[in-house]
Amino acid sequence: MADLLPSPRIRRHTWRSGATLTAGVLVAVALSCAGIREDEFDCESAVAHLSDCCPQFNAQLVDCTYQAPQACGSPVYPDLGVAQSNCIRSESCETLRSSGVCTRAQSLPLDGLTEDSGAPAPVVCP
Amino acid sequence: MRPSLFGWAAPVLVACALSSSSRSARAQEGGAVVIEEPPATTPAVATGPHLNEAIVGLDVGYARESLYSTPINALDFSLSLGGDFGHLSAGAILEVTPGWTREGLDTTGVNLGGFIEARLGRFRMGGGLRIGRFSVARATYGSDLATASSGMFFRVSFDLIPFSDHGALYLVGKGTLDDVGAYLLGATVGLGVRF
Repeated sequence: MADLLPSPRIRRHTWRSGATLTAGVLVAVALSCAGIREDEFDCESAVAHLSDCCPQFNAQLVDCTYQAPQACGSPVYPDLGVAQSNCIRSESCETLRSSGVCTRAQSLPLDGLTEDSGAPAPVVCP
Repeated sequence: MRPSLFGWAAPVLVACALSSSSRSARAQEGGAVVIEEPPATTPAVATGPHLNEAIVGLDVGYARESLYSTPINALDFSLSLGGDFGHLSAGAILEVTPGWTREGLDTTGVNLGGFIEARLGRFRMGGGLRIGRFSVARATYGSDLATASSGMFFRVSFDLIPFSDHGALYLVGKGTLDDVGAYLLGATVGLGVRF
């Protein structure tokens, strides 16, 4: 039965490997706190859908980036919020074209939305 | 393959047994009473399982992932390096997972981790922890959405065609859970070869 167990040398090596891996995981957890934001991911998905459906849609005119607040500043949110993005993604190409979503999405503000911009978030869908 | 001590001892044991029965038969034929001496045998030492038997595994599979309820189709390429320690296997695994969403966003996952598995006949079951990087190519402009990731995985494999002590063509299934700011869930089915 003792033969079935790894030798002490292997157990020590395994323990060290485990400790190293655990430390690596903790570092990675710390680094991944920012992560991928839902509003950015959904916005990019919606723009990809619009690019497929809308003739001559220029995806580069839509800003899907989130910028964390700088000193004394406000965060900048993607042009399309989660609800708007999901609405666009759930619609067929025909509906997006016929309901004017393609046109409204193309005229989104270029600089993204800030919390204190005072402007209401644009509604492009439906 | 390294022959075990038991492998060397077995022919010796058989030869001694045959020799002993032959002597006994001759003694009975002559009517003489012969005290049989115990057969001189080499003690059979049953060795434990091989330690540090290196294994290399390559898997290719289809992965289905989900991020923010968005399905991601992906290919999964895995390279594992490790060793068999008795009924356990342990080592490191590198995985590359290129994928795409329904809308056409390209995703890439690269993970490095450690695993431990139990061997149960032709089955291997286990899991491990991993760290890596996950990225999504933007449809708009700018750099990718990217983040460090950390997570765990569970893995089951079945040796379809064993071709040595450790080598086999195997079927593998894997479940993954990674933190990329949200939970990235994944399930993979694939084929692999182990040397």
